[in-house]
Amino acid sequence: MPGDLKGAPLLEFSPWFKIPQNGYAENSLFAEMKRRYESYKEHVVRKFYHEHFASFDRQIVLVDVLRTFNAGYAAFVDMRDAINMVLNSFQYGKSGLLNKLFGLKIDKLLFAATKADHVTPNQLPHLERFLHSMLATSHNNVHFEGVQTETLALSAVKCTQAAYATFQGQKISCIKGVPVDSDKPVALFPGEVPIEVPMPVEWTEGRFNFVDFKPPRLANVHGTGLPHIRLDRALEFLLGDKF
Amino acid sequence: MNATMCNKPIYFELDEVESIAEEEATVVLDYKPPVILPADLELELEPEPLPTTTMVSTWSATTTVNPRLSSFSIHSPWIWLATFLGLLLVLMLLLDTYYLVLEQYSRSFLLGTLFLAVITGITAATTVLIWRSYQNIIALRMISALQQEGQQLMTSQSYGNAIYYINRVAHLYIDRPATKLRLEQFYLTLKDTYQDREICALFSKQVMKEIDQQAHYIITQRSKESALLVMISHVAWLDAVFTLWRNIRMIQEIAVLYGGRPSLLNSISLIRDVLQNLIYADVSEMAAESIAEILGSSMLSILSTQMAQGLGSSVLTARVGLRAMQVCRPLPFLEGEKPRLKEIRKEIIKSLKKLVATQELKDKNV
Repeated sequence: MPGDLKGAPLLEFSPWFKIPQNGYAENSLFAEMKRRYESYKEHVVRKFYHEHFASFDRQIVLVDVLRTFNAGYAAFVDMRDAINMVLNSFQYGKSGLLNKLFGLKIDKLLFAATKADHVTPNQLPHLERFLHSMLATSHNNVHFEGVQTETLALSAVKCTQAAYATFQGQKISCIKGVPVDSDKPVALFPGEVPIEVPMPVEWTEGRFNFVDFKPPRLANVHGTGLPHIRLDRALEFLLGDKF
Repeated sequence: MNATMCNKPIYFELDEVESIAEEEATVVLDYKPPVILPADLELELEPEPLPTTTMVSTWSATTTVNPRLSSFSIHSPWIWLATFLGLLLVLMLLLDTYYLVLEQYSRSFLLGTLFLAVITGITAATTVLIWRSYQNIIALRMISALQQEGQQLMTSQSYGNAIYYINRVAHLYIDRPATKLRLEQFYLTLKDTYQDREICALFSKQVMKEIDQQAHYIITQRSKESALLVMISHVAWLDAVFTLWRNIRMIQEIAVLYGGRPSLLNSISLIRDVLQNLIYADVSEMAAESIAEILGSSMLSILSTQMAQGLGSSVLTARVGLRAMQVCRPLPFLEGEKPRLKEIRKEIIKSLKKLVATQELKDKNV
């Protein structure tokens, strides 16, 4: 891991502002920096990938979609491109017998949209479809290799409760919980999750208002555990056939 | 417009163009904006999970009738022919009985009353039978309406509608204590984030599974019995009568188990399967006799032909039973849950082998 190499010359970098365009001498500082960077990529990053990820055969990708909704279109594009690039670097496919010796391939992949308790329950399918359309390229590539994929909206801790309210003559479904920065419970309809990615001009300021909530106060955690959304389905999909 | 005018694009000024009234550009929000509700607003949590009597009255009043369209349409001339022939028969019958009673009255008062009483008895019995089968048809239509609604709920991505549907299905089983226990457990495990598909799948796995197992047991028992009956009897028409009787009983038992009302005539596919079974019972007996002639009369050949015949009949009975399960179950089966003919066949073969082995053992000892 890179942290183990603390103090080694391999990790000594510095920012370089002017890249020489017309070539550079072999013993110049720029050449030394370039050599260091290349050997960092080779010996630290690539080694880390090979050693760490070679023993995985199931993968889950957790994406916090609601934060990009609150942040704006640029954040969304950033996140999407970063995830697609990262997913390119894994080995997908069905693992045969030889793979067990030389590095497993990932054969089940779960795309998970987290914080599913911050939207109303009837929006959960919309959240899943939005995530699916956001990561469509990676999904298609991975599907082509024969990997089983699924898209789920899940939440490790369920901090809100669903309810109905009649407001201005309309029946609205909303969620009820205690926001992070206050003490009193609040009920809100946090906005409709779009199914397709909206156009950049449609990411206006007040369109989405996904609020963070405090975890629930529980009398007895040891008995049944924390309340969650769909964590059991995620585990069943990823690990169910191993037992 | 002549062809010369359509060669080049024609541009218009925006303010000279009239738009159609419905497509006036207004600022339309095509999404729902977020809303923070006032703190003192009353919130309703999930609707009442347990079935109440009010829900019963609503569904029984509004059963939608969705008859399965067979290959004949309502206005086909065959239907007209059948209807009018039936009408003719009924009218002739009525006229005949009327003249009969009149004649008897003209002879003597006593005879006339006697015949009248008998005719009245027959009419009353027929009316009661017709009324009962009408009620059966209504019940079967309710179950198939429930099945269609369940199918729609399980394939669509909706939320919030499943709990009313599940209440209606659960009402069919509310009188059985074992099922009631599972029902209450099921209602406890329901959470507010479950979509309709998930609620139906949970109900099917937790509550209906036990009933499915009972139906499976019934089908296996009946198949084994029908195998034995067909093996033992050597008279073809007796085979057919037995098979018909046993099949009707089995269908009735399965229908009662799933909460419907027992009747064979309500489902065309069921009738088709039962007829297939009958024909097999009849034909296989004769085939078995001729095969026995060909193979000679050693013990093994007789046993094996009998066993094959019994196996065939039991597999057909099992098929009838599985079809009855599919027709009578109010919630449609999930993909992985449908009971397979293979498992029933394996069990039947096992039991037949055991039977033949004990028979051989007995013969050896004798």
